[in-house]
Amino acid sequence: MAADTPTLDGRTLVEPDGSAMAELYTRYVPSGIRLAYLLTGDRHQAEDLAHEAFVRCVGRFQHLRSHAAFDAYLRRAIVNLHTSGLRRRRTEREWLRREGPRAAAETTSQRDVGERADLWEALATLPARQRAALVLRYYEDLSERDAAAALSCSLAAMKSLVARGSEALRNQLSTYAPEGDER
Amino acid sequence: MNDLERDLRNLFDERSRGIDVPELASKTVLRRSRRRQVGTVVVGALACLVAVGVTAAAIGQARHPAVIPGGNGLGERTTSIGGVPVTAPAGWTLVDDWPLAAILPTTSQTCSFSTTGTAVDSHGSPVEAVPSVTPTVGDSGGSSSPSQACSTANLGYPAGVPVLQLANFEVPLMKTVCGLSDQGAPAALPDDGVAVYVGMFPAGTSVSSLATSCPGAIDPAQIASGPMRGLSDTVFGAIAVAGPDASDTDRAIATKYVQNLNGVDVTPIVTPASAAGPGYVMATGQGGDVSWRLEAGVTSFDPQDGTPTVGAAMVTTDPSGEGSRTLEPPPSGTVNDDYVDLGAAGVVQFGTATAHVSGIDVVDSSGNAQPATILPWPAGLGSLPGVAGAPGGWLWYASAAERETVRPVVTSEPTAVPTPTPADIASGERLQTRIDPNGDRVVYGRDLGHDWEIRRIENSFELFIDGSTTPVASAFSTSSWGSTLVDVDGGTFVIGIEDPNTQSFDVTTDPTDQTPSTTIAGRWTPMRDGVGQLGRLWVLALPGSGTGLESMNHELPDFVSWPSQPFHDGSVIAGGGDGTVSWALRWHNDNCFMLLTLGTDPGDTGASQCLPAEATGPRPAMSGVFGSTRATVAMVVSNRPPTTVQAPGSPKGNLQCQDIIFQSNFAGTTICIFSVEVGQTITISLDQNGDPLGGPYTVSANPGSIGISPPGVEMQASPEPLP
Repeated sequence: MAADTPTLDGRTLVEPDGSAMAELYTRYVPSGIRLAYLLTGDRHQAEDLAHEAFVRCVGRFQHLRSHAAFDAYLRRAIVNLHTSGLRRRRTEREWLRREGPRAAAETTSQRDVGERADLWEALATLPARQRAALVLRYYEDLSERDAAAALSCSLAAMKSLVARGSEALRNQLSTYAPEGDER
Repeated sequence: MNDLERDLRNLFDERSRGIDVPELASKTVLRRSRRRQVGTVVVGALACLVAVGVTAAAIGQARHPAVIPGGNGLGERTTSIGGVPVTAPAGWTLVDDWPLAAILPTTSQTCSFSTTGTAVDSHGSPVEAVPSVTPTVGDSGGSSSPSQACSTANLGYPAGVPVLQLANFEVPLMKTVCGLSDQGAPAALPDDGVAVYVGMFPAGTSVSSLATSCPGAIDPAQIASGPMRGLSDTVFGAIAVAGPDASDTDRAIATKYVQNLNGVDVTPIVTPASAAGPGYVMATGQGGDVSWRLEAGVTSFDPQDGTPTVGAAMVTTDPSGEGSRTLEPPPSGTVNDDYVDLGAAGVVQFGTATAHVSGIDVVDSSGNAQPATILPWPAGLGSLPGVAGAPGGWLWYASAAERETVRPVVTSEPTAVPTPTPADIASGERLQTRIDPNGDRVVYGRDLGHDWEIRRIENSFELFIDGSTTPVASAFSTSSWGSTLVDVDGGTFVIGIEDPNTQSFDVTTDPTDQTPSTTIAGRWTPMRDGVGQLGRLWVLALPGSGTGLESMNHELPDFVSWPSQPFHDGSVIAGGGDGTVSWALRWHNDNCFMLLTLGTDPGDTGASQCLPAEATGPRPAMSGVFGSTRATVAMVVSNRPPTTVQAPGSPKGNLQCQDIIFQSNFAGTTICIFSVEVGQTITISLDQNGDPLGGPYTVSANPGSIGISPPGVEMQASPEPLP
């Protein structure tokens, strides 16, 4: 074993055993669920997404370039699974909801967040990658380069996604003046 | 920070804190993780076994290595393989054999067991002779106390386990100039050939054996050696060999390298991530604290027959370890590309290209083009067993500030549409493809009254119709197999990236008063998914609106409806299954959602009544299809305030829940679907701000009915299963 093999509380992470795996879960999955919730807007999907990503990351643990960066791999897996738009047949066919006249009135399953409820609903209308770009920048506080890596896109594409997402929100919500219009 | 950005930060913070997350790992998730991990290890172990077999086979084939006049055209390369530093002079071949260290066994263990006791005959009476039993001092006999003795022996690798080879000729992959144990003779050394062999020697073996196992040693007494840190009592050994007509210059290069290695401490990355097998080092570089090398070699082995797959491997090493990304030659089209991030030093883009590409540019957002370095595949790849010659075409790489657009320069137009083979026709109709002026592969067709195209842009596939430059569906694929529905005027496309072995993908429509049932077959073309796996892109065109069954490889179908919006009578608003039963939640109107099932056992096929829409009280309500071998249950529970539903002890996929937020009589509820085999039970626990809502509930299945304990749950009787 190389001397510099990353460890978690002294245990090797090359092939995490059951207890190390549980610690990995405890350390990284709760924040992964929160990230997934902001991406999906649905807590059940969020949990499924984070768990699926966790399973995949652990399954590929031996092949990860940097074991110490498990959280980054988990984040990337969550974002990729979310933005794929693909769902595994049989178990993951997404529920059709939102859109047009059927948009939810006030049936969100989360607690009321006051005046920002409209912003939350507007976020739900954004394409997955635009929403993910905003979450990675403003929730995860990633640099543009790191966010681009998490979203598997170029730096320019990342900037474009953030700009287009912000513009779409401004267009939907009158409370936000267009960019450059100081208030 | 502007108002929107500030509000987004606050919103994300509030929302993320407002969601309940499990603090402890779900046992189910951990079990799945473990299974996944075990699966990975098993596959890896298979590859190891196969690799050894391939090695043996390769060594059995005596081929004269190709001598490359004037060198191989490669520049000087500096890297570290297995921790051993090496600089390959321009034109020389450098082979990364370090992956073999991970797949070749180095020791064997023999154990013997002994015990003491009194032998008895078939009637239990002591017998006089006690063969094969080792007496123990002080043991009076009569009782047994087994002991075990094991001895560990090093396997016979006189030349150690190969780490790297440096040569002025192309050493065949899977061979070494010093042989590989007793599995075969050393690779033939050309008359003017010169090589350095570096091997790893575990405890109990000696580097001095190199002198006799490496034919043509320049100086058998000159063997370099040094410790390999992190590997217990393991050292490396190096020796130079030369043919009778080798030049003094080349001899000097090899000799000097061996001399310089002597006594050097090396610290290898113990788990090599280079690739599945050895590779030729084609280019090297350094950016920040990341060093990289581009290899052409074995990227995987077929787990069934051991046939190697050749391709490009970009190996990176940084303070945290070693990683690799691999690409195979493009099956069609022009270019495959990937990149590695060097942090502040930018990126290295690399890839493979087909033979009709004469150059590759990487183009930044301002349109500035930078030519990539393109390299031919080494001919030695073609000497691998099961590989029909070296790949045609090129490897390429380029350094850039960030990942840029890759633009191949094509000198001749490839065939626009591949000619389907009889096997293709037998397995399904092929989609049309062409190469556009930018060298991109485009899948195209005309269906549902539209000319359509699917283009791969970065990691996603995008659908364009009727010449529009704006895709109607973006980013509908990055990874894993699956399909999605794309509504257009006139119908719906089903677009899927599926397993390469998928032979059929079709939808059988439900009959209506106006139209009989028909089967719409999918068409496909080879395509890589978002993570580079080779699969099949399938397209089905479903006209108008309707409902039906979607089937792949003639397995148990899934329910499907189209278009996805707006809802119409029969719309599938959720679906799932476990291979035994497929289920779907169907919308009939805002007051009526129904559960449909399709089972491999006909007795499990049926439809529920309308689900109880008024279940917004404190207790859940249940309905479903209660079949002859299993019950598929739909549970409706109020989600105001939010309710957590769990099925402790049940497989993860067996409980699927969704909050209903669109306007309907079900708005504000959560609907969960789970199944119970007849004769078994499942526990459902609820948590609504600490209120278990009368639960936990135990649901047991009987033929045609379910039992719920404790009572108090509104339950609809199941109708007779549909015939």
